[in-house]
Amino acid sequence: LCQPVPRCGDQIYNPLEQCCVDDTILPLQRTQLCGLNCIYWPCFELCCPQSFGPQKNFILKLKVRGVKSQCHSAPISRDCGR
Amino acid sequence: MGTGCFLHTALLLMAQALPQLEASQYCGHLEYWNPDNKCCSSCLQRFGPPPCPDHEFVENCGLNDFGDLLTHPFRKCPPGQCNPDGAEQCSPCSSGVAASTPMGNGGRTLQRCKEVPKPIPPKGFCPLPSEETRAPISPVSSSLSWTTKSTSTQPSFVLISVLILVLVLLLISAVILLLPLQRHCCRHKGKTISLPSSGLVCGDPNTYTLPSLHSPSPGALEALETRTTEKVYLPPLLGKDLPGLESQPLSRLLDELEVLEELIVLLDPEPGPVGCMAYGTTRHLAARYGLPATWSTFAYSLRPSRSPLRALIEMVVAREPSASLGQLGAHLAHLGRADALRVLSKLG
Repeated sequence: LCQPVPRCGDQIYNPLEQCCVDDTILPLQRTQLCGLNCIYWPCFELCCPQSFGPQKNFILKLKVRGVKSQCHSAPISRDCGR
Repeated sequence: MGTGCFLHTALLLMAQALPQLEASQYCGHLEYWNPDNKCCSSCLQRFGPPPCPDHEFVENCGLNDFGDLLTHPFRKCPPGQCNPDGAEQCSPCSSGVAASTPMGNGGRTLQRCKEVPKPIPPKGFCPLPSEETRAPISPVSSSLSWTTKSTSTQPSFVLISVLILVLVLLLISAVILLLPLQRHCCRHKGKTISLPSSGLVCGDPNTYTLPSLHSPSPGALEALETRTTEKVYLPPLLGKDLPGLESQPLSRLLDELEVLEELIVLLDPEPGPVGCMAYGTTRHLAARYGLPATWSTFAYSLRPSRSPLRALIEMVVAREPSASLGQLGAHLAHLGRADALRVLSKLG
């Protein structure tokens, strides 16, 4: 089956090895910091601040492939505070 | 992951020792450094305007030059400053004039990213109680979306319904088209075969792993016959209980915690049964649902605090609400996990 090549901004990428986050192509195995002490996978998780309060915890949500994932509706992956 | 990743992790760990976020070496106050594209991107383009009144962007919207989100992108205005209109920065309350971007950006060089023209994301949901905000919270805007555009819930519900309808129509037409081919191929066996109706495995435009999910060489027809053979020798349990499971949504499994726990105990551990990776674990189940191997690596990195199987089920349910327990049962059967199938049949 022929399918359109996925685009990220104005570039194409290989979804078997890369993902598109904010018009930036990242390798699937990329990890980043969410908050000061929580490592997450930006291709598969969302880094979501929990509150504006002084504690300002972060929570990680699962990205759903093929869907525009959002912090308020995505299922929880992990709580960075724990 | 090579030495580059190790170095990055080491740098990340060093960065954690810093008491607070340092300003970007490359970008201005209202931008952040994109280490992959090597340019400065707009905070407003990524996060949208401040969702709450009297809030503004923090330095580089909380991102360091490695792309880590270290602090919340927004903060309350300093005393004496206000931002009722959702501008990027606060301004003195009395003047009512929005503050301009700091001149010269502290001497930092600006290398703007060449961004595809697109509208600024709408203002997100303000989580603060209403008494802490001066302006009324918009009832239409959704909550904070940090990496994707936000949409209102009503159109998304309609969109999901339309998508489900289109999927059902595609599945029906696929079955109608494949049925004559199956009868032709399996006429000598005297029976027809019904393939698992999994839109997530075959032909789903979101999976991009379609070639890898079909059997590789020697050929599709031979692979079909092999799959047919396996189908014939499935335990009677499958034929008896699948009809009962077929009509039930996969989301039910998330509510039946005892059954889910039993499946987690059976499917999550690696290696699989008989001490061999060849038999199906959650990793193989994820592949059958069209997820890349790296996703399984990520899901298994969540252990022990989080089950990869639970994460997989939540992912599938979120992506396709119409997914059924029957599809899961068919995948388990193809993986040769009769033990897990027996557990699943309790829901039948």
